[in-house]
Formats: sequence, structure tokens, C-alpha cells
Amino acid sequence: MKAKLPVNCPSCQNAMFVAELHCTVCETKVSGSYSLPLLLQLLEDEQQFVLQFFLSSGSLKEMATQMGNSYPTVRNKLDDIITKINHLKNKN
Amino acid sequence: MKKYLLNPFQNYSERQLLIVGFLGNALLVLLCFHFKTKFIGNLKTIPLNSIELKNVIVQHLIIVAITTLLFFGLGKYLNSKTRFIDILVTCLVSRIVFCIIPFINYNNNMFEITKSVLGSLTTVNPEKTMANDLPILLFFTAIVLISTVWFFILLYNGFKTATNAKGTKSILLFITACILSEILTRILI
Repeated sequence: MKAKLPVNCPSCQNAMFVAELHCTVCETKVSGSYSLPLLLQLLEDEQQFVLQFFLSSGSLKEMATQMGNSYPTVRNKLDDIITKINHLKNKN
Repeated sequence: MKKYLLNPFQNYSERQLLIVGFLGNALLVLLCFHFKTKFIGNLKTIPLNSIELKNVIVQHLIIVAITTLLFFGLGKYLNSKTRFIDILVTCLVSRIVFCIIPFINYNNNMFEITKSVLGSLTTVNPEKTMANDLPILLFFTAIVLISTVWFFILLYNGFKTATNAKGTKSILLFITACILSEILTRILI
């Protein structure tokens, strides 16, 4: 099973921060408090949506066909993600 | 199944919805002509004794045009990305549920019942004379109510999908547009 990166705290729902990074080859560890990149702060399905948008060269029509949804449904989802990213950007 | 009956706008492309909408409305026009039912607004129908096909087509065109233009204007106000085609298919597809209504006037049935019920109101014992007609009238009223509720659910879901409308303000404006379209169509028809 592929572990999911938790972006929100399972206890209080606030945004999570990276506290430690480590190299699996030489075992070097870096500790600190780093915020996650904007795209990683999105939910998994939203990240998938952004990836699909990128892979379909930004064509919402093509995405709508691939996802089996109508064009406005896909556009609304994109608009909601844009709003969320702007909100996260202002928060950071 | 529920999703397809109440919100087909989420999954089907505008081309598919446009074809279904046009065919459904053509069927509605033919049924209204055949069963002599006049639509004088989105919600009001009158059973008639005779009707011309040309008039039925014009009435339906006025209703669709007024509703589409009003909701498109509101959609543009709420979200500048709103497309005309999405609002048009919403208005066309949501009206298909009204195909059941002309059947109520089968064989001029409703026209006669309405005439009889209205006539019995002036008699000494109206409840006696209405006893036969009232259950049928109530049954038909239930059909009309169900199709009206279904129409509004489709119209709202289609509008919401087309405009990405959220919140109380958009619901209130939607209700206002519904009332306004009803008033305008009744004035024009």
C-alpha cells in the first residue's frame, strides 16, 4: 500500500509542516520547520486533477472527455482549486 | 440513476444535452399541439378546445428564450465564465419533464373536468357534483406538482453546474430569476 502524505493534522485539521528530512543513502538528517509547497498542500484528488490538467496540456475539454464529466463540471473544479491555492498563498 | 435523473449536466457533454433538449422540446411541442395544452409560462398550462401548431411553437420559443436570457444574464453576473450553451441546455433539458403534462388533457379530459368543476361551484351542493371529478383533478394536480418540483431541481442543478454558483445569495437570485421569467413569459404570451 502506498502511504499518503498527510497535508492536514489528523487531530486538529491544521496544516502540517515538514520537521525532518533524511538521506536514505548516507543517513544525513536535516531538522527544522519547513512548510509544504503549495501544490502539496492540496488534497490528493486535487493534486491528481492538477497533474491531469498539466498532462492534457491545459485542455479542459480533453479532460472532461477523459474523466466522463461535462465541461462546466471540470471548469468548476479548476476554479475551486484556483480559489483554494490563492487562499493558501495568502495564508503563507 | 438518481444523479442522471436529477443532475445530468454534471456528466453529459453540451452536445449530447443539446440534442436531447431539442428532441425533448420538439416532442413537448407536438404533445401540446396534439393534446391541446397551452403553456403560458414555465409553470402555467391551460387545457384548450382547439390550438394551432404555429402558436404552440411560438409559445415554447418565447418561454425558452426568456428563461435562457434571464438565467444567462444572472449567470454572467455571478460568474463571468458562464457559457450561453450551458444555460440553454439547462433550460431545454429541464423542460422535458413537462412532457407528461399534455397527457392530462387526453381526449379533452382536463378541459371538460375543469369546466365541470367550475360549473359545479355555482350549484346548491357543489361537493355532490364535484365528487366524481375531484379525485381525478387531485391526481392530475399531484402529477403536475411532481413534474414542477423535478423541473426546478433540474433547472437549479443545471444553473449551479453552469455558473459554479454557491451560497445563499445565488439561491435568492435564482429564485428571483424564476419569478421574473414567469412574470415576463405570462406578459408576452
